[in-house]
Amino acid sequence: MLFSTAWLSRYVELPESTRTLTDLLTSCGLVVDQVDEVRNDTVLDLDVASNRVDAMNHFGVAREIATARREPLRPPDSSVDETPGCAAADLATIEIDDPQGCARFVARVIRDIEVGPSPAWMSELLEVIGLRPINNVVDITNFVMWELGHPLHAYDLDLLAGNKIVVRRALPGEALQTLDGTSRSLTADDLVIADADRAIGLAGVMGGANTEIQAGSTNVLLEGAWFDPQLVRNSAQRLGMHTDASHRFERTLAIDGMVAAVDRAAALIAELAGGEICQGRLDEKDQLPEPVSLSLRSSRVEKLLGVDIPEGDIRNILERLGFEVEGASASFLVTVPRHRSDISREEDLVEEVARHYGYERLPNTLPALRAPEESGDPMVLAERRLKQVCVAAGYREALTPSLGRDEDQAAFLRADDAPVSIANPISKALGFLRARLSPGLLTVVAHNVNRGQQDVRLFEIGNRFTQPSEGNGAIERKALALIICGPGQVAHWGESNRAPDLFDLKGTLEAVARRMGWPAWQWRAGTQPGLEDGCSAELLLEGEVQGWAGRISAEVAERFGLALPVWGAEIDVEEQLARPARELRYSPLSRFPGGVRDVSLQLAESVSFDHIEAAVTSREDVSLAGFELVDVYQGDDIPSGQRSLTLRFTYRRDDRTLTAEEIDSAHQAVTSHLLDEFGGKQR
Amino acid sequence: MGATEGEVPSVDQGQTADGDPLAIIQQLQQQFEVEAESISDEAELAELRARYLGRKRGALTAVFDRMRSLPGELRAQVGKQANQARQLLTRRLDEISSALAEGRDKRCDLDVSLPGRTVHLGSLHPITLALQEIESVFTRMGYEVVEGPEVETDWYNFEALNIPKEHPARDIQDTLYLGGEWLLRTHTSPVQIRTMQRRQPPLAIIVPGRVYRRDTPDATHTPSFVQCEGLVVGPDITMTDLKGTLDHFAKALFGHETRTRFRPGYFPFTEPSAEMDATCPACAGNGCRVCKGSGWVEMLGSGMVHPAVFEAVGYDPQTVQGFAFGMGVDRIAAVRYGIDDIRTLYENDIRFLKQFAT
Ligand SMILES: [Zn+2]
Repeated sequence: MLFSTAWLSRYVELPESTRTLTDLLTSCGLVVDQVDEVRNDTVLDLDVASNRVDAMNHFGVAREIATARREPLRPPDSSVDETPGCAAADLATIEIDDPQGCARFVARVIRDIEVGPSPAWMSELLEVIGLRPINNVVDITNFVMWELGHPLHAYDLDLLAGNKIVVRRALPGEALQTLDGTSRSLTADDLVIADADRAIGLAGVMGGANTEIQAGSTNVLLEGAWFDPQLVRNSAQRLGMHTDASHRFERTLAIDGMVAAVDRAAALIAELAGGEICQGRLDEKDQLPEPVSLSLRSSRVEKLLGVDIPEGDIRNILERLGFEVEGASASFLVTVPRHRSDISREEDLVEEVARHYGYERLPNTLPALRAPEESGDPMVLAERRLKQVCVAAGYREALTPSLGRDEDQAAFLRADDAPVSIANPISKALGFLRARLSPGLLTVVAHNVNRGQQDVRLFEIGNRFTQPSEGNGAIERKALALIICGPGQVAHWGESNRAPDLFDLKGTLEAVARRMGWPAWQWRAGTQPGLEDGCSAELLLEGEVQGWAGRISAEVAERFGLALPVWGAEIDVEEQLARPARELRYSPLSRFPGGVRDVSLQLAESVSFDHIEAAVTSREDVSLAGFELVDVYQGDDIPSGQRSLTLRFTYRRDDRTLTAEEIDSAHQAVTSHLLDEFGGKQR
Repeated sequence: MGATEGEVPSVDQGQTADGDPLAIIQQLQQQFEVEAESISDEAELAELRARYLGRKRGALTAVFDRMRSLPGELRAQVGKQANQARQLLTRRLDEISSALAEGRDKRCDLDVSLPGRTVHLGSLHPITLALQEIESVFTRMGYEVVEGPEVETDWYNFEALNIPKEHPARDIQDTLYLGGEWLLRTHTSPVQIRTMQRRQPPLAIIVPGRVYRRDTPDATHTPSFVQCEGLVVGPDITMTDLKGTLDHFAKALFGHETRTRFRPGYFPFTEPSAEMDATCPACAGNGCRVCKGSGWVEMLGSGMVHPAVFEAVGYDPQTVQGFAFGMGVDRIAAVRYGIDDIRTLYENDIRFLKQFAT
């Protein structure tokens, strides 16, 4: 919002330097976004907070400056020289049909004016703040709005059917051509100003073309009213009309601000356009509400701010801002001026005092906090550890947007997963909340591959959203996604690449479960939407599917513009993250040496490693300390449908050294067990 | 680097020296051992063999040659010793030979300037790094980290925060709705409401998480971004505490020389409200492109919690008070790391991510 310093200086002594002025305005909450020299004036672009409609005009800003500088404030002259022998009440009547929508309507009549250009001083002031001068009468209404803050409107009285103003809701099918030349279709939600026959203005937003002041107009009806902020907001929004007037009416103007504004404008019209001001101010209103009175305890000021501000300072600040202060500091009785519709509680007054006492004068202290009861949300801590494990496993963290396209999500969704749509999306491409993280990661992979960076190894942890089976809202759960692709990262100039595959993902996820102290996922071959059949697995916990891993199907990869094989995994980890952190506990180490024996078994392919693992772990042999798979072999010497697995067993006891014979015999027993259970033969 | 020729004692020299052939043999053996120690390749070994056992000039061969002229008894004795010496030397030469053969396989002659084997470490996203820095400043001061849902109800996101239905801040332009009372939270403040409902003061929490605004993506806006808010509630928490805490935070994050500026602001859920600017970390407050010449960057919004918010969660605003603050982590990361387009953060270009491998 633009303000002219020349204009401001009409009401208050300004500091010598612009820098001092901008610092001063910033420190009382009116941030100066920009300073421009225009003609001989300095124009400030102020960021006025939306609740400070009182400061959206030059006099209001001058009031802040005067308070901050403890300088006198000089209000503009609103005294009116009425002409005897002509009464406004005889020339026009005001009728309010919707008192909720229009709580007050003030008008004056000025006769025998001459419409012409504004004097240079006024045109210049308007121009430097970006307004286009039109004619003296219209310019005066704009000038007064930017001077005192209350929007005004001037009608050509001779064009008012029935010399009558009616404030009412628009009729069905009613239309109005507004001053900008656009014809507007109105509804019963719009408040209009009408004459006896038709709408002549959209209340609080814009006047109508049918009663516009133009060259030749001689009699003026000047309007200053109070319209319901919500009604003005709704009309302005529905019709897409954001005007200087609606901006102010939407923010709750003072119920008495139009009186001085209408008088000031009438006086200016008489001065600059000739004419005579008829006697009497038309003022249609119900009983006005009492001004707000609040008590302000200086103890409360001290308690909230942490400093003791002298009683005299408190009183001085508030009075300069227009508050009436009575009583003593134990509990001041403060009457809020009507232009401060933002003030309704004691704390609001504390802010006024603090603003003009100066935030910079408050000392910096640290509160005495007690040690927290909880060390933090366990899920937050677990998520942080999970990220560290993924980083240690060589994955880079990606953060991808939560909003995306339905089609991108659909490829990975099962029939019973419905993504959550946005009712008022920014665009179609941002119409859905993610139900899976993988589409976002695939977009990232494509971004990188397209830039020649084919080796991608990423993870993301974030919320996924699906529709609940009934009702609105969303089911929101944390998931972990991994993605890898590329020819394989070369570790050393002497070695060759190895392209990543499912077992990279599996190894990572096994390490994740171990490190996090989570139970290991069971891996089961299965088909998954978005994955290549035969190259994908379901991950289960206690029989429940938690996620999947596998190769992204060629169709889905192509959808993201990817031609190379991409491997991904995505798992719901909501419950895992909520598990209590694993307790670290020492278990004594055996002091006795052990022995290692390998065995190669030729088994049917249908014997999965899971089965072998289960058979080995089921053995109650205290000397069997561990086992691992060291080789899987299928060659010419192995019949088709079979494979050779080489297993390495470690034997050790905690209480004594095993003899070679004992180890051999234990090894023989495991071997026989496996052959008995799965058939096949030892190689 | 074997011994140079000529240093090998000869029988002639020996004879001249003390004339005892037995002593010469002993001396030859000792000398041989010394020289054998420094043999490092096959050529040196051949040279050594030739010098002691060579048919023409071998030092021990010479002993045999001279032996014939010795008296019978001494000749037998010397012959026996010389034979033993020859066997010993031959065996030692064979040993050295096989040791050399073995050593050829183990020999170290690395070009140590070649690059090392790459360790493929992962990395955290810069937003996570910035958030962890922020969290750690506050947890060191005794704050807990708390999270909550991204999909919220109107009441938690607006109503409880003193933003009634007709308030301009609820503009449909700013909020993404799901239908019914549900919306995507526009700030993480609902988590503060939930925490206050669940627990009694005193409280000191920070609340990170994704929030949503109905903003078209550009260099400074993305429709979802990460925010971190904080809340302190107790019987005596004051505005000076707010200032001290946030000034400390700015210094901890951007460096001790950072200065802060508090100016009045407007948020429906705080009163008094304050915006905090910090001296621009890019130019130390002298004015640059990052701070548009002002020397200041907007860092966070804050204020004393509005009594209506305490009333909404069932706290008595006459007996408890506190402060709250909120900042965009994306923005903090951008300022902290000098990123000029926020969208870069969500592209996840590997070259970009690599720069944050810590
Ligand atoms: Zn700067």
